[in-house]
Amino acid sequence: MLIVATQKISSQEKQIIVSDSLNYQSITQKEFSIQEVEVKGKLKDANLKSGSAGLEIDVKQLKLLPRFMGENDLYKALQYMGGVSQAGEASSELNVRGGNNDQNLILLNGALIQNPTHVLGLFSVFNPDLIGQMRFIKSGMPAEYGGRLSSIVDINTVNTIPEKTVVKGSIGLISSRIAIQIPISSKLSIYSSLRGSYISSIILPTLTLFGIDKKLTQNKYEFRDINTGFIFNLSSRTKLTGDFYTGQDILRIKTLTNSNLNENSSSWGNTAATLKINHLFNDVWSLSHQLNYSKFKIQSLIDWQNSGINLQSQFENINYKADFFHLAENQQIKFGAEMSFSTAVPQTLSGDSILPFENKNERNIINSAQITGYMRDEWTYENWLFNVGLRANLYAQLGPFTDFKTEGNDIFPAKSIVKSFPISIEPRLFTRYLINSHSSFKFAATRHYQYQNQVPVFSFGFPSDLQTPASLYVQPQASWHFSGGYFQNLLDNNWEMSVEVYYKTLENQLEYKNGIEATFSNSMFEKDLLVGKGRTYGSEWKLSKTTGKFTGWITYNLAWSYRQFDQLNGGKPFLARNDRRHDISVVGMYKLNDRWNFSTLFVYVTGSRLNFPISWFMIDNKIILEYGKYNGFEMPAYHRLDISANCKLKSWHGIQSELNFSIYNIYNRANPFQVYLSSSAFKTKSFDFYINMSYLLPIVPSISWTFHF
Amino acid sequence: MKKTITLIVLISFLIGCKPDLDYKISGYSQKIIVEGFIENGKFPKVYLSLNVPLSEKMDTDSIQKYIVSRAKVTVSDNINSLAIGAKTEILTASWDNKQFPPHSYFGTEFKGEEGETYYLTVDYGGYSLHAITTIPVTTNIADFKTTAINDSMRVLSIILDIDSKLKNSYRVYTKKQIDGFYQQTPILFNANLSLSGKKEFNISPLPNKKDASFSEGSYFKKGDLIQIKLCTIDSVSTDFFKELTIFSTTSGIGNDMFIGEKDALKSNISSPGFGIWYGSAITNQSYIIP
Repeated sequence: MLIVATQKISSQEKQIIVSDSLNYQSITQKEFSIQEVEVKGKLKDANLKSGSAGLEIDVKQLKLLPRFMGENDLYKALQYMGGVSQAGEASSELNVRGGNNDQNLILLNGALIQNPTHVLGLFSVFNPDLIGQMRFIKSGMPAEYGGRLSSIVDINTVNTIPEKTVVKGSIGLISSRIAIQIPISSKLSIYSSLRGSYISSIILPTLTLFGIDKKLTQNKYEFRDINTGFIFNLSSRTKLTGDFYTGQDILRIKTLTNSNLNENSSSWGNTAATLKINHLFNDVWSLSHQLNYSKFKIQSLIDWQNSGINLQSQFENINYKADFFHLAENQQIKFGAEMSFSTAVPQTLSGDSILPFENKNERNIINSAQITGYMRDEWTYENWLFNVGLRANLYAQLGPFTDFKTEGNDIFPAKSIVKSFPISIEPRLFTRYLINSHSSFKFAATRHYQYQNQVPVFSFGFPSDLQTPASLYVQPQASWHFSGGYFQNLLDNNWEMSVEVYYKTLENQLEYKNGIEATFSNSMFEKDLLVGKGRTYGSEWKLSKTTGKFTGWITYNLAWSYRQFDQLNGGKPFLARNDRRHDISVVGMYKLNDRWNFSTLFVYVTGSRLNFPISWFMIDNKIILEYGKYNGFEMPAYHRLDISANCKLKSWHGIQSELNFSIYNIYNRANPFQVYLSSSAFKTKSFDFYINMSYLLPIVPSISWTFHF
Repeated sequence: MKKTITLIVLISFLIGCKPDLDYKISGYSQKIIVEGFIENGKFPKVYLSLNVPLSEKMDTDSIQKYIVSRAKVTVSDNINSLAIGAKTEILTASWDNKQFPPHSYFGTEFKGEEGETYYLTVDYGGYSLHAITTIPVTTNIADFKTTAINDSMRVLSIILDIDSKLKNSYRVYTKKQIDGFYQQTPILFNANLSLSGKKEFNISPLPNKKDASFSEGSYFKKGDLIQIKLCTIDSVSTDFFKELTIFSTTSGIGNDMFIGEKDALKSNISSPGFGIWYGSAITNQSYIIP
């Protein structure tokens, strides 16, 4: 993709082409080397010419989309970009091209975000006021990225020193936020932001005045997050940046109508920190060192069979990487190395009294180390662009570790290697051919390995997936991804059209057959994981209008996602939970004048699939459920329409501000949040089993005020 | 703008609010569900029902058609029930409202014996189902152990001397003085058939919040007389009850927020039957909580 930078020299403006590819690093470097360069936008035909580095998200444009409860959510907006399906109602999970949610690498300033959700998925953890750049890669992943099979979401906070103090913020119905960037000198600036909710402290008590059930105020839900960091230009060629993020969600369900979650509570949060130094040797060579730390922790109290169970799960990662970058006129070379140590605690458990199972307080922490090296070269030749790369990984599980066995445990001491895996090689190829000035063809074939896995145990977006890194009994996931697309621009590049097809193989897919309750009595649940394979394929269609008063896009995905496990469904392939056959997004934005703009969003997605019982019977005074075809139940389709209006207010004492009016789910579609089997058998002796659906979000109007000065 | 608003309102009414839940999962096939047991010193007892499709609305009347009350149920100690010298009995049918299905078949002629093998035949609807089981050798409780929680409450454990070659597992029921019936300890002890020698098992029953004795939780009161029923079952029955113990839904609500196919129970009844015919060696002991 061509990036145009505008260099302001006195009152003159000069446009130069910085890069022929959307490589974030190159942009950063160039921005940094040329004072006062700002990335102004992409060329009109970037759609045709872009390289392998994925989609540069137009942050400003996405901020115009309808809001939920006054909050912009750029991460969730990825769900409407084509090729990505949302996992369900109120979910921030991304299923990219039929892949699982844990197959997305989510980076905030280079540090891993293990679970990017707030409020059970209503919001993501990314504060929109601070997002400077956002990149989304779903195919043709260049070799500098790896570790996940499906996609990369690379989010960077603002990384330029402002001329003056900038304050941004928003006041919404359930949460507010404020961000400040302060230039300390021409070389140093700091930034900080706070975001917090007041659902149970203000909103629920207020709603009781309007007649909602007072019992609901016994429920608690709050979230908060903090971002802070600095940018320090050590010299004209060296730049040091530091970023820190921490966020926390607290949920306590005391009583909820039609819910089976009463008396459950949970708190979870991410922490991510990055220290990065960029050095420019000369106009073509640069080097970046980066030290990242990330942590995700969840603690839940689950009411299960009349016992209270405390469950804790944790993932911690420290990572160092060095990247060399060479940028010439028609060629970019990038190579580097990465080293990381991870600690995963799949689950620790304690109970409030005698638990209804043989509780073994034998739990393992899984330590692992990974060394990765990569190299890639991107060059253009006449109408062709090639990006060829290779990535190699060496991974091992480290002690201490105990392999619990019934006939004597195997104990691995600290610093020993529990299991080392063979070197995995990931070849990457991307090519683009410009057919003419209006059309191009692109093809990618890439290999991926994934060592850090998360196995879901809940059928809805509760962030309690079991952390299951590759270890003694778990192989790394792997995939081949083939993708091709035809891109056509119409009417002087004002309209863009594309059709892409893909085929993806998935190896060593993990499925936990028994649900979370079986982990309670199991010291090494990874021994019970089922291992299978999968394949996904489909086509993605997109038509967008990029210029004028009215802009927007329509995407349509037709996709299939299959899994095959020898132990499930009689060994026959079955549709994956995230098989969403049809997925349509329609986005429209209309700028009426300088004060008013409007936007609308419509989404339609085929319902996800669930594994559901077909019959019941009783033995030993217990109800036994007989399960049918694996994932044989299709949930109702998900669809909704949102609208939004933004009104810029007159500047007041230098404060620029705007009001946003949004209506989420305008036709009040009851999209299922959870489908579950319910029964009044033991209450009424009627043996009436029925399928129950819980809904979360009806029509939600909201108003919010955002400001900056 | 007016047109747009009109259109939106129109769409709202057209689409409506709640989707219909179309619950159609193919694959339902009717099975004859068998729960039968024979204990040492007791007559055999068998419950028969049909599995109920979940797509069907149930009430007290409609459930009746899933209760099998007109089957011919035969128990014998010989594979050829008509052989000379074989102890064979066609069980008597009777309504039994104490549990579901509220209809049982019971014997009156011969009682189970330790170490003996018994054959079950169920003839119903043109099908003939067969199963076989053995009553294992009785296991006695070797010792009791209590652990004080506070001045008045105790955790009770039993000690069993396990012969690993026998491949038996153990189910335990307790009855406090306050209880009207035996409560099952919801754990199958030695479920993996791997233990050997003297082993201690906590037999505190699952606290039931709806129970009047819930204030005692899963503990036993000092001075209380506890009746303990220990059932020894063989490895085939163990395979069945192991899965049943872990995955059955005791409350009917709650577990199905979890995903994942639950392991199919390992039935020892021939098709199209499903369930368990098991022999159980029972010992009853009493213990006063010190």
